[in-house]
Amino acid sequence: MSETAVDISATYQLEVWGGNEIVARVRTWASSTAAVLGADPQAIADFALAISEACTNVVRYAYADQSQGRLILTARRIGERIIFRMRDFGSKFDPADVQPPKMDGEPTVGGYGIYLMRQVMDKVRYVTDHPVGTELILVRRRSH
Amino acid sequence: MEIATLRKGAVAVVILSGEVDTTTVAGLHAAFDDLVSRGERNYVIDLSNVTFMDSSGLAALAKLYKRIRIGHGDVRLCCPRSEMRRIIELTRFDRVFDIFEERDAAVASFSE
Repeated sequence: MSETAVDISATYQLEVWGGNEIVARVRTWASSTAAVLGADPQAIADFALAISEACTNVVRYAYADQSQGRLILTARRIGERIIFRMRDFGSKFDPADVQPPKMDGEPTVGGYGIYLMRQVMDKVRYVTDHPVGTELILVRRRSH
Repeated sequence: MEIATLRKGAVAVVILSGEVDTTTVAGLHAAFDDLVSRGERNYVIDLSNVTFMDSSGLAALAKLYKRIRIGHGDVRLCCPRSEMRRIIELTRFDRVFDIFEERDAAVASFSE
């Protein structure tokens, strides 16, 4: 075993404040952390996409009226599963309010974010009973 | 993200590079707005150098498509990388957009 092997039993955390500009930073962190946790290239790409969509929603809706939103992400591995949690402290988000995109004709302009998250993750769960804000939990096997 | 455009006959070729997300997509909307305002009707979007695109970019493509179809133009895609192709297929954009493996073939398809 390499002396420089990373600790896959650790929980990794990132806390950021900001607006639109944090999306790329958060996505880059998610990709590199997924890789550290043993995700294969497809899983890394899937986490990058899901986290990007989730972060975009937080910036666009939870912090719609603020230029500086707080976001805490954690990532850890349990067995073959990698779990990301994204916690915001903005307006509550109810995924039930989001209509899935219509895909039986011309493309719709928007509405694909949560749909894509659900397509590429094994599990997507919103925790809405925190006193403030919303928590999103994303779970995917590290390889399929 | 970078956007380069060139004209081949009656076709506007838009070559995208880098990451397209909510932070960068405004530039893509602006580029499409500019081309549409100049009367361009036929588009090939070269995705070969797109390293990441999320639903923000897909929405920009969908918006362009809807505007152009009104004037009986079309938008065709070429050269998506595997990740980009996966997203296109998951959203069934492959049922809306013709997708080509080569840019020249995409351009030539407007003459057929």
